[in-house]
This record gives sequence, C-alpha cells and structure tokens, in this order.
Amino acid sequence: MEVCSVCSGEFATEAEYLDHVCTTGFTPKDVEHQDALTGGRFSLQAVEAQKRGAERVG
Amino acid sequence: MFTEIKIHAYNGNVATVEIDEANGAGETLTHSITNSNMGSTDAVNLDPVAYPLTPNTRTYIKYQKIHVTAMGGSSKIDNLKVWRTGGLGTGGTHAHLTNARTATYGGALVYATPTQSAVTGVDQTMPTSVPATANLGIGGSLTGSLTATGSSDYLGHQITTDASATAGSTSIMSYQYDETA
Repeated sequence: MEVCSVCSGEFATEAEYLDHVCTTGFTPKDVEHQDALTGGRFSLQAVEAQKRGAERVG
Repeated sequence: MFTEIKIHAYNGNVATVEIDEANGAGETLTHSITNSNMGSTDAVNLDPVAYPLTPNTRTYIKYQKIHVTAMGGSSKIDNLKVWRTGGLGTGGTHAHLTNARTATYGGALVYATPTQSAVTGVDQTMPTSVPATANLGIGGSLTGSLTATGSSDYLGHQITTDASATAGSTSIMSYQYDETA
C-alpha cells in the first residue's frame, strides 16, 4: 500500500498516487505541489541548482 | 532524536522529488515524509518524545528512498548523496549507521520489517558532510541513474546508543542529487 503523507490518501499503486489531486490542489508530479509543501522553497532551490549547474559546465 | 530533512538538487532543472519511507511488515510506503525522527517504534514521522530510546539500545531502522515523481523535462537524475549534520546527543558514544557508502556498495538494500536489531549491510558510519562521490545507488549501483519516474535504492539508517546516553538531539538529514537537463 502507498500512502500520501499530505492528505492521508491510500493507493494501491505508485501510478495512482502520482495521479491523485492532493489537498494542495495539485498532484505529486507538479512543482506547485512541492512548493505548497515547502513554502515555495522548492522552486527557489531549483533556481539556485540551475545556477550551480551553469557554473559547472562553464 | 528529531531529524529534519533537506532535499538538494545540486545542479539542475525542475524534476519533482520527494523522500519516501517504508514501514511495517507489509512495506507500507509513505510518500513525501516531513521528517526522519528516530525512536523506539517503527512509524513514519514519529514523535520521538512519545517514543524515546532506552540507553544502550538501537533506534528502529529507517528505510527511505529518494523518489522522482516527475522528470520535468530533465533527462537524468543521478549521483545521489546522503549525509547528516548535527550531533547525535550527549552523555555517551553513539553511532549513526547506514548502508550508504561511496565504495564497495552492497547493492540495493532489501526491505525487511523494521527492527531495533542490527541489520546486515547497515554498518557504515553516516557521513557528517557531503560525500565526494555518490553513496546511495539506483538500481543497485552507485553509477545508476533515473531517466523517468522512479526511486533510488533504499537508504537504511539506524542509531545506536550506549548506557550513558541522555535524552534528546536534533540534526538534519540531507539528500542530494544531480539533475541533467
């Protein structure tokens, strides 16, 4: 069994979990979902990670 | 022991990633955990005040994995690194043991009902700074990668204490990956 810690929904498969619309209003596949759970830090982190990546490849 | 979680995309794009934890005899997988608190029960997001550790015992082992829920246009996730920052508490000599290792990786850790006993292969000291190279595999290999939705190998980790242990500590578990556009 798979459980979403955000909405406590229970799912038989990973696919069902990934496709469910959570209480955030988004699915776990959506960046907006991660942002809702982290106060927007997920997207900010992605921006910083992209900068590091750009520096890495020159 | 209170343990917060940080997820780092070291370089990369917009893949969506979460940390999952498995518990119980049936391997119930809880997605997007919010902490990695360790204690004397097998439960996700446990309350360590309600389930403190008796000195000279081990915490229940945690089985966790990095789960890519969507690639977001990226082509590859790899180079997984996990580590802990912050002490394990005072009053004795403690160890934070894991299967994560940068050399002679033992392959994918097989899930078993979490226990307070020692677990075969979970015998390396958890790094306290970012490792130089990957220490958690994908598909049983440190050079493995994800090119679609999927998960890392299980990260197993457990804390041991001695008879002098005193209550309480707070630390941070970090989970880092590289993302290729």
